[in-house]
Amino acid sequence: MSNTDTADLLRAHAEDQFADELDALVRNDDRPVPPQWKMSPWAVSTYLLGGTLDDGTEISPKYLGSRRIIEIAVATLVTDRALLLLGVPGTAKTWVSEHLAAAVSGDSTLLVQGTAGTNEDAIRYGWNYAELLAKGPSKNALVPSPVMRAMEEGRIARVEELTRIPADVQDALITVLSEKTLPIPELDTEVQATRGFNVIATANDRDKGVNDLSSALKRRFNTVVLPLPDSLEQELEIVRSRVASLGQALELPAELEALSEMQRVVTVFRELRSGTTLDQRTAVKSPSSTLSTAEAISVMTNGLSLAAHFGNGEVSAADIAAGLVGAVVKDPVQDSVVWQEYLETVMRTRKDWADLYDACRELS
Amino acid sequence: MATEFVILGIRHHGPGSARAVERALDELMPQAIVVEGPPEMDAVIPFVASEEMLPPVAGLVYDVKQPRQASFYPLASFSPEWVALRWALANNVPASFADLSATNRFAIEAAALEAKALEAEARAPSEPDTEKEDTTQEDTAQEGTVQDDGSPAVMSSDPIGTLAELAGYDDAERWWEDAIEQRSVGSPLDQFAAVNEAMASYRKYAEDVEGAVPADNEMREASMRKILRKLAKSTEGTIAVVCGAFHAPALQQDNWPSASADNATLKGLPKTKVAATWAPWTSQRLAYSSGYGAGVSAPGWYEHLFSCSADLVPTWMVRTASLLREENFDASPAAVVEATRLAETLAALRGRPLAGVTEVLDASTTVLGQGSEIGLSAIAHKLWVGDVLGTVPPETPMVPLAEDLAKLTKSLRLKQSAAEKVITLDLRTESHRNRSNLFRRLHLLGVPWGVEAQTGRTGGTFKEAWTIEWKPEFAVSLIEASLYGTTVSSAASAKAVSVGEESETLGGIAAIIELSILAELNDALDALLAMLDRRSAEQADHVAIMMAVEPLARSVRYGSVRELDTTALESALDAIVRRVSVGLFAACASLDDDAALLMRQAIDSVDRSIAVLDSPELVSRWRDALAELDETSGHGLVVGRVSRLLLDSGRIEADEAANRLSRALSTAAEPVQAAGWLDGFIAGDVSLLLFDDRIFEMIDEWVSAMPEAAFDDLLPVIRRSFSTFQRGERRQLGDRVVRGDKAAAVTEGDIDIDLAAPALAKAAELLGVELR
Repeated sequence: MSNTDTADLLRAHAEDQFADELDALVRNDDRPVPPQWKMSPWAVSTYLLGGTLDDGTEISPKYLGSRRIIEIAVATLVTDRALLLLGVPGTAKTWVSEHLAAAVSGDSTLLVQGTAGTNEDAIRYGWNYAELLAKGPSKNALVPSPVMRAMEEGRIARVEELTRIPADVQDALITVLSEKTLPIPELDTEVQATRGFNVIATANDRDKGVNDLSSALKRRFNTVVLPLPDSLEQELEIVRSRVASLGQALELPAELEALSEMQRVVTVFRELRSGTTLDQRTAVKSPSSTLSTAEAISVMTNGLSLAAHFGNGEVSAADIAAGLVGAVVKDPVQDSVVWQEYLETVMRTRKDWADLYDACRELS
Repeated sequence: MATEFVILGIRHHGPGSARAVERALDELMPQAIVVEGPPEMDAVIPFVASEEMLPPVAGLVYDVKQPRQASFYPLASFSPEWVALRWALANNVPASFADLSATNRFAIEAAALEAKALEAEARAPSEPDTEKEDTTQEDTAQEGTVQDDGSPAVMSSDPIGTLAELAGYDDAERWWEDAIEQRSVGSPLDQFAAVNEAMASYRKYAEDVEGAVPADNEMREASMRKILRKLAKSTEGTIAVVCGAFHAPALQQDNWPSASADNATLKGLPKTKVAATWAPWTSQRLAYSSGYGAGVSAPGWYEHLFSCSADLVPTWMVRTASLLREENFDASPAAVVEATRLAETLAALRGRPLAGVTEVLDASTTVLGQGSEIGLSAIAHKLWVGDVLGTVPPETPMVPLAEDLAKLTKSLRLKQSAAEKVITLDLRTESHRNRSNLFRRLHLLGVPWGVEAQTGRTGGTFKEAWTIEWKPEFAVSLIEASLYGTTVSSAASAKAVSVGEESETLGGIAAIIELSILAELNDALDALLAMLDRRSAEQADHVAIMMAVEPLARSVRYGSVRELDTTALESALDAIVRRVSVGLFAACASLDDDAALLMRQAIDSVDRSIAVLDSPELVSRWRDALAELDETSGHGLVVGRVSRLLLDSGRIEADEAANRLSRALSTAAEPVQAAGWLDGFIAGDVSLLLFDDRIFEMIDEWVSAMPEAAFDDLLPVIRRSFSTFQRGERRQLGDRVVRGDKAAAVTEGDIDIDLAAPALAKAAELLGVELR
């Protein structure tokens, strides 16, 4: 795959970036390995969840969150059912799918990116028209899709944003998943999946107006829902590391000393999302917006750049208030009621939040 | 004489243990069986054999003088204790209980509480109401013991938890399930021997690390041994002892301390009089913790584990699927197959011998639920908990709730008579108030002994009349109600909370809060208020929140009549009025006619209730919210009413109201909206229109100033608005218009005091007020 030096790439594939870890896992693996898999299911979960191997190699955790979820995902792939990762934006669906494919087949590149314009060719096969016109239909004129290649090679194919693909195109997957075969009527032949083939799809369950999965297709997937982070600490950790690296990339001079601001942002997000304050004492309404961790990250980076370019370089309540209101109030009528209520019943009562309360009041 | 004790250490409510006990008993064929539990329950063991005794049931031991001091020992069909008792009765083998007798335990606990109360008193500054506080403290503490006593959880540490931790499990239940319950190979006796050994080393470890076993436990085990010694004298052969695994090592015959040592431990313990009986139980209550310690989180699953020996996971999945289908969710047989495969693969991946609760749950969510928990949560209760109600034979002794009622009846000098009778109560005297509380509490518990009758409303809120009539079926209702608690007061509190939980609307919660205040159920009140707060935030229907305001406001007033502390209630009301005010504007946008009518009623009810509250801050907050509404922002019905309320409260001037009126009724306005506006504005008592010059003139002027063409257009609208009044009222209005004067208005100078005096005096007498 990669003769290019991975160091020059903006972003390397998982199997290249973590090649050492994958090697070490294979070396230390003494459990039964399913046919065509690179390593045993236990090793795959260890790769995703992190841990220390027998020879002392440290495996970094790729997914911070529930062990159960990763175990269900891996077990699904073992039972050769297709895996559907579902979740709101910013819950690491693509990330998990890439790493699962890298660990199971050593290759995360057999990828169909779902868009409104994805056609059947992307899932089945296309034609090399020059070849087709010159010599007529033949195997040589066929351009296999990533799914077809995965079937032939016994690897994992990935379908990103499955629900963005038009419904009739989605249906092309049904035969592939149930019969494990891809007929090519033009050549009166078919491609049958070899062992080790499977599909990991991701889909977003929050966006409205996309193409819902037909129940026929849904039945062929095991659905695993990736949740938002469990605890304040976990989410804070994710936000902190992402904001720090984004801040570096944007070369923002502002200092991220303000962990307390970050804590407040994450707290507001978590409280509104869960419908109750962290101390479980007061209930609040939830707005229509997702309030994903990814948005918390953008509120913080936004505040960081406000502070750097227009403020004194230190993130203050006023710097994050604008981003916060923007992230929460997506629907001007419903959400602003929710937000007002939150301001009055929760924020106002917190003595040390007075600056943030005032800043938010000023904006609404 | 050779007596051999075989100790079967079990986990309470463990289906695996139950099955192992059954097999062990079949193998041992013991001459007698001893089960962990207070010896007072020996007397009621024969009932277990009755056909009418269907688990879940609970053995119930309580203090005769203080029924609140009680312990329940719930038994399900999959409880090892139940299996052992049934086995004994079926095989004609004597069975008995062994533990520290409740006679002593209750007395010890009562003494401990008293000491605590004394200590608290010593610490508390000597204020007049110290005594009162102490009583409440004591009460709550005693309530707590019902939950805790007799449980292995009382130990300073959790033995199974520690062993599970050592085995690398984070969940003790799961470890026990893996290591003991789900291993059905080999002789059960070997399994029990292994458990005993593990517990012995655990106890040794605990003693080394954490010091001695708690005194309470020593007393309990000494009592058990004492009973076993006695039994050994009278029985020859094998005696099986079924007890919590933790106690197993201490009951091993070779570990027994000398009889005199045990006797010394038990010497001079205080005593109280206790009684034992059986009470029907529900699978839901099995899920709570009580007498036998930790409750089981999923009785339905355990029942399944116990009753189904082969194909555990497939049968469970089939059950799940058929329940899902009943609720109209898709669940195909193919999905059942896939879910079963996934559960078993997951178990293998996690290195477990068999799929357990977690695997089954994960697999059914992933495959049958297609990632969503909606369908599964709809059936969760039925599937995991179940709704089985146990029964006990009719001849079982009376439950403590009934005894408590009998005692209350006596002390309040009431009689359970089948004859109907009306009694009048003056709530200012304590005994009368207690009677009223009793009737209300019983009512809540489904025992409508007293039914509130009309008093004729002579003297305000402190007088009540009750029609009382005792019906025989109340005895049955009492047993049912005893599931909620052992005294009328605690049971009614628990019932109030559960009614609140089941209530679908906020108004329902507010109503039960009102009831709780009337019945003085202060314990329930805190929980209900917390619930109200939670639900009012979740509630999307604004009208529903608004409708909760009035009962709450009423409650605050009743509370003050009954000299209750209403601080918590007031703050809940405060929060709700805040919410109502903040969301009012948005809630009034785009209402249809029906919704607008409801909203108008809700606004009226909130306004009425806020007016009687003594809180200027709330009033101004609410009126601010009202003032934001004008004819551009909502339905005519609502805005018209709001304008009237604002006018009445002086929030807007008469001129402004007149402007609003003419704007709302101008020809450009939608006729229906305009009619609604007028309707809202003049709604209510016609006398206001007759005698309030302001409003009358406002409408009069508006009609007179109207161009003729516009009048023709608006006539139907106006007609419609006035059609809600009675014919006579309309005539009076017409007369006034015809006279065209301020006939109704009376100025002070016109009144002949002498002429009015006798009438005034009579009116004052009727109203019960003093004439100044």
